[in-house]
Amino acid sequence: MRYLFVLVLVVACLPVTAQELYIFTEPASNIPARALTAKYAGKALKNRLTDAIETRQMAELQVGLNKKWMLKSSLSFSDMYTSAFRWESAKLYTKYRFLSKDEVHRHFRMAAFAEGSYSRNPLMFDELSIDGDQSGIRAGVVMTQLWHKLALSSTLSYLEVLKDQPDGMHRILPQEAYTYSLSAGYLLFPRKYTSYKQTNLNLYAELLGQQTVDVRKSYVDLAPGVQFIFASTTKLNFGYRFQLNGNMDRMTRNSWLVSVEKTFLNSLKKKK
Amino acid sequence: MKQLTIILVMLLTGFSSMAQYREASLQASGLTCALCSNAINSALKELSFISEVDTDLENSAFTMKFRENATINFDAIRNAVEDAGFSVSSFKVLADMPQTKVVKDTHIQLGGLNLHFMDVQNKELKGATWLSVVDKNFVSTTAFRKYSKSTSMTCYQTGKMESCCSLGKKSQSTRIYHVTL
Repeated sequence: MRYLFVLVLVVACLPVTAQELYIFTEPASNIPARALTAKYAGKALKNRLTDAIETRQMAELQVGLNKKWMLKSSLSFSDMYTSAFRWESAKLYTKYRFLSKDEVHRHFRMAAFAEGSYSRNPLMFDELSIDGDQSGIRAGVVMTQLWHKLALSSTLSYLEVLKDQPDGMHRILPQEAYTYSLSAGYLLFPRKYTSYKQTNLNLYAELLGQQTVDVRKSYVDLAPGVQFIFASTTKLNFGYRFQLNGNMDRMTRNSWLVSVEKTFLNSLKKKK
Repeated sequence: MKQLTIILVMLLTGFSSMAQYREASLQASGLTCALCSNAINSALKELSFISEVDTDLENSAFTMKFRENATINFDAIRNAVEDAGFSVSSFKVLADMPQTKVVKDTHIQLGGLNLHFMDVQNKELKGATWLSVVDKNFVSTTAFRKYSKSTSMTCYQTGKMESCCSLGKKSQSTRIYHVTL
C-alpha cells in the first residue's frame, strides 16, 4: 500500500504528458486493425548461485485482427535453466477490448486477455511466470485511463502453471497465483508535437505484484523504464525491475530488459 | 413554359448528384501520442478517394483532400479512424452546393449521398459550404445525446432511411447522413 501511495505521488508530481505503451505490461488498447508488430526482447539477470549473467531472448509477432481483437505469438530462448543456450518456450496471447469511452485526448478502456504457454523448464521456484519460465495459462482484465496528458493502467489476472511438482523438493511449490500491476507513463519529449518524425522519449513506472493462492507467497516489484519512439513506428525500451517486498524464493529479485518493436501499419489486406 | 421548368428541374437535379465534396476535416478522440496519430494518418491515406492528408498532431486533427470525381464515403473515413483504435469526435466536409433550399428535417442528395439537414433555419445555400456530420460515431457521445433530444425522427438513431423519412419505406436501409451547418 505504501508503494502504491509513493507511485501515485510520483505520478502527480511529474510533468504531464502520458503514454500507455508500457514496457512490462499491456494496456487495454490494441494495436491497429490489420497491423503487424514485430518485437524482440532480451532479459538479463545475474544467477544468485553462480554470479553468471544469464539471458532470455524473445521474438514476438503481434497481429491486429480487427479494431478490438489482437493476437500475439512468441518464442523464447534462454540459458537460465540450462548450461547451454536453447529454445525454451512458446506462447500465444489474445486480447479483446470490450469497452472504449473516447473523448479528445482522453479515454477509458477495458480489455480481457488470455494466454497459454508451453515451456521445457521444470518448476523450481515460488515465483510463477509463463513468460518463458513455465508452461501454464493466464487470464485477466486490464483497464487503462488516459486523462489528456496522464495515463494509468491496471491489470488483474489469474495464473496457473501446468507443471508437476519437482522430485526431491522438501516442500510444495505454489502453482496458482493472482497477479496485478499498476503502470504509469509520461512523454518527456517532444514538448510540442510538430511531426511524426520527432523522436519521443517516454518514462514509465510500473508496480508488478504476485500473490500465490495454494501455498501463500508474494512479491511486489517496481519497474522503472525509458522508451524511445522513432518515426512514430519503432519503439526501443529499457527497463529495470527490482523487488520492493516479498517472501518468495525467486530466480532473481532484479533483472534488466531491453526490447525493440516495429509496427507495420495496414500490413494485412482489408476484406472487401 | 411548363416543359422548360421540367428541363430546368431535371438539370438542377442532375447537377446536384454530380456535386463534389472537396475536402473534410475531422478530430479524433482517445489519443495523445504521435504513434497513435500515425496509425490514423496511415489508415486515411489507404482510402482510394483521399488524395492528401494533413495532420495537426497537437489537436489530433486531420484534414483530407478528396480526389476529383471520386465516390466519397464518410463511413469509410470513420471506419479507418476506428480500425486504428480510436473514435471520431467531429467531422466536417466542404461541399460544392448547387443552389439548394435547406429546410429542417428534409433530405437532399448531394454527390451520391443522402443528407438530412438537422437543427437548421430554412435558407438558401449555394457554393462552397462546410457541413458538419452529426451522426452517431461522427460526434462525441455527449453531442449525439444532445442531437437525439432535438429530434424524434428514428432515422437519426439508425442512420438509415426510416418510415419517418419523406421518401418512405421503399428506400429503407439506404444510408442517410445527418448534417448541420
